Amino acid sequence: MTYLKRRAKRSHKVLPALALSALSVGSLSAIGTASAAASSAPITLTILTHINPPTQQALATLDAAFEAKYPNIHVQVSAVATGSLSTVRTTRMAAGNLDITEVSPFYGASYPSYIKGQPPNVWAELIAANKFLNLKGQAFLKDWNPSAIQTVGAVGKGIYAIPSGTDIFTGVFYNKTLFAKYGLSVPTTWDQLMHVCSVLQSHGVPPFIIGQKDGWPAALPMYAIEQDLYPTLASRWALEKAIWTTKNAYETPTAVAVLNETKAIYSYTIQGFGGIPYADAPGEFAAGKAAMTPDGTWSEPTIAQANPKLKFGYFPLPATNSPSVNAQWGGKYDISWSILNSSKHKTAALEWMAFYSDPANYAKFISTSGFIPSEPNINSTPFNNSLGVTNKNFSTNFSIIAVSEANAPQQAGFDYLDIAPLGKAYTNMNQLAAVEQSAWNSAG
Amino acid sequence: MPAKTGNGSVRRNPFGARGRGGFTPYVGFAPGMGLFVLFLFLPAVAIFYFAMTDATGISGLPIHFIGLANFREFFHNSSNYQVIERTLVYAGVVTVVQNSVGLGIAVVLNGRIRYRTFIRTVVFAPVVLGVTVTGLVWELVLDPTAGPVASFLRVFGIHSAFFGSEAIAFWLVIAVQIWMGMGFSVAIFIAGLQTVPPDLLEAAATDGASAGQRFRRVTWPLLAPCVTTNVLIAVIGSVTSYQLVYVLTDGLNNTSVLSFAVFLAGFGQATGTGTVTQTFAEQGYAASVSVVQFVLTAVLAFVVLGYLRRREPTL
Repeated sequence: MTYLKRRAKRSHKVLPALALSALSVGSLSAIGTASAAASSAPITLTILTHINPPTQQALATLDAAFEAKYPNIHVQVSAVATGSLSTVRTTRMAAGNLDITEVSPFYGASYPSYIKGQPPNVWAELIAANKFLNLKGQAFLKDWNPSAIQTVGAVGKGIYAIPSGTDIFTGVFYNKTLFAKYGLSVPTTWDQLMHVCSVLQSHGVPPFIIGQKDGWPAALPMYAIEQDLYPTLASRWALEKAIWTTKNAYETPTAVAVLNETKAIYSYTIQGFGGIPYADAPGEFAAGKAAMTPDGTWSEPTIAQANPKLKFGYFPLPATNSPSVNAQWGGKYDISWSILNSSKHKTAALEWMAFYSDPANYAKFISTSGFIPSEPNINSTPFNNSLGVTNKNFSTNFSIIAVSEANAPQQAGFDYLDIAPLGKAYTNMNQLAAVEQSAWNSAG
Repeated sequence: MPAKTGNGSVRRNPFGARGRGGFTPYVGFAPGMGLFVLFLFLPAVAIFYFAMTDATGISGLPIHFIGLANFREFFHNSSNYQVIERTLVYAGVVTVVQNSVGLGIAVVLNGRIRYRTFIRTVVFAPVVLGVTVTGLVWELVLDPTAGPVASFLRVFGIHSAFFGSEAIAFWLVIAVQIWMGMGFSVAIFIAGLQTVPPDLLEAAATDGASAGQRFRRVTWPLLAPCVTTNVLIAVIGSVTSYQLVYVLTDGLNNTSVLSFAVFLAGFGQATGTGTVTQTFAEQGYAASVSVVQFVLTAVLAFVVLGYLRRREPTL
């Protein structure tokens, strides 16, 4: 199945497009904002993102409305596999045939002062090399929550990206029908969660399914556990600093507890989950192959579409025995959009951003994409509303803060990839923590 | 080397023509040589230069000469030694198994068996499927939840993540590589077997040689050029191939080999925690890994070629 948005190219003349492009580039500084009237010459605006069906659907609706308003502009969205995004972006940036691209939020563009000797952050290099258009001063920036713009787009004195929204990935989708069938209720403590798993397994129902073949989804339950065992943003920054400035951060009791709880989750996950593609997991869950799946809220539309009759919910994975600590959500800003300075259609790209940022259009985008809105006074989806996310119970996850050591064999954070049955299949978490600490120390 | 004429004088033109006409052959192959130099030789030389830079592959970013820093980085990372070791194992197992089994199949298919043409077609079919189709086929076959192999093993209480298992993923990739390349080896061996003069085999049989002796003393020596070709193709092909690893495992679960490491570094694949990690290309570093790969391939090829070539004239 492909989610690549393919649109038949409209016939258009190349020379007028190039002429418009040249005019656009030349007159950009004079335009200043995205309010310029579109020329009548046909152009194709190219956008690159990664495959995410709800986002592609939301973009298709948005772009259709945009094209209706600007008949001369055809929007062409390329959605590529997550693993290929960097490759495609690099080659298309080199080829100069890309106007708007998905980027990571730029909050990693500079390292904390205690991190030394690492290769320069590529985002920072690209911005320093003037690769992205500075959006500062654009009227549409006022539509967004200032904190969102600051977080995803601010580097130095410029603004280089706008967000799509936030999502949560410290929760678990659960099958309400299966829970009801076995008399289970949503767990709010770690012990209750283990009880739920035990009951499900005793009835031959795999408690969890994870699509780990892609190499990263098994991190999701671990991220949720980190969120509770390091329950404040300050404690996560302290962990990050300790990893870089001490020699035993991975071997502390709390760190080993993260590994032990992650091991417990894996022991209740469907057998062979290391070989299940991530794209298959939501569908398998929707088909009733397992009672729960740790995943991000971005998968909610996929699950709902895979089985419209499925009754399912989402709860924060409880990693402690304190319900109040477990009630918090962790997540991140998702896709951010930047305009390339090499774009031949900067004016059209700014028009697109202004159209996308317009609260009326953004509200429609949110209703399909499933993101939690980053603009004020926008209604989220019923699903997101049901989560009750507020500024008080949402905070950035540790995985977003962590900075990897370039020479270390593992990414920053805990080595979930070697917990049984994955990787080297460690069952003794103290031993695994010692191995990871040793590898980290020797890499520095 | 200058050619000698019949009277022993040295003739500078290897094509034998004298005077102004002597240039004609050079004019003939100059375009081909020009294309070779332009598109193969110069890029290959350029790789050695790029290996000593911090080039990212993104136009506009500055490129600095950093000497041997990329090589130091490569050899400083202990996991890269595992990648080299894995590459050698990959090449060795693929070469040995593909050629030994391929030879056995070729011998059988060269005999008089029913449906010979059909079986040859079946054996050769994986070669024309291509890497992507092959990858999809084997992903379906080895699907850990609903694949036929998983269903069969489940009867015996055996579960596996297959390509998601660090214990067996690498060996499964090797098996698929052999499955995919086997038809090519078989085709070359069959072609070689058909050049063995029947009268030699008949003479050996008349002299009382058994089937095994006929193969060992007559067929095997005459197959030497085919063995050289097959082994070289398998060695070079398996050292430089990354596509199957990319399609089947994306280099995860200890399946990355040198050529995949080049691809990974050169084109900035996102790895690790997919929720947050975005990487960009490090084409200077990728060039240094490809130089390491080139040296490894050249050494292997020269050693194998030297041994097999020495064997041929003694036949």
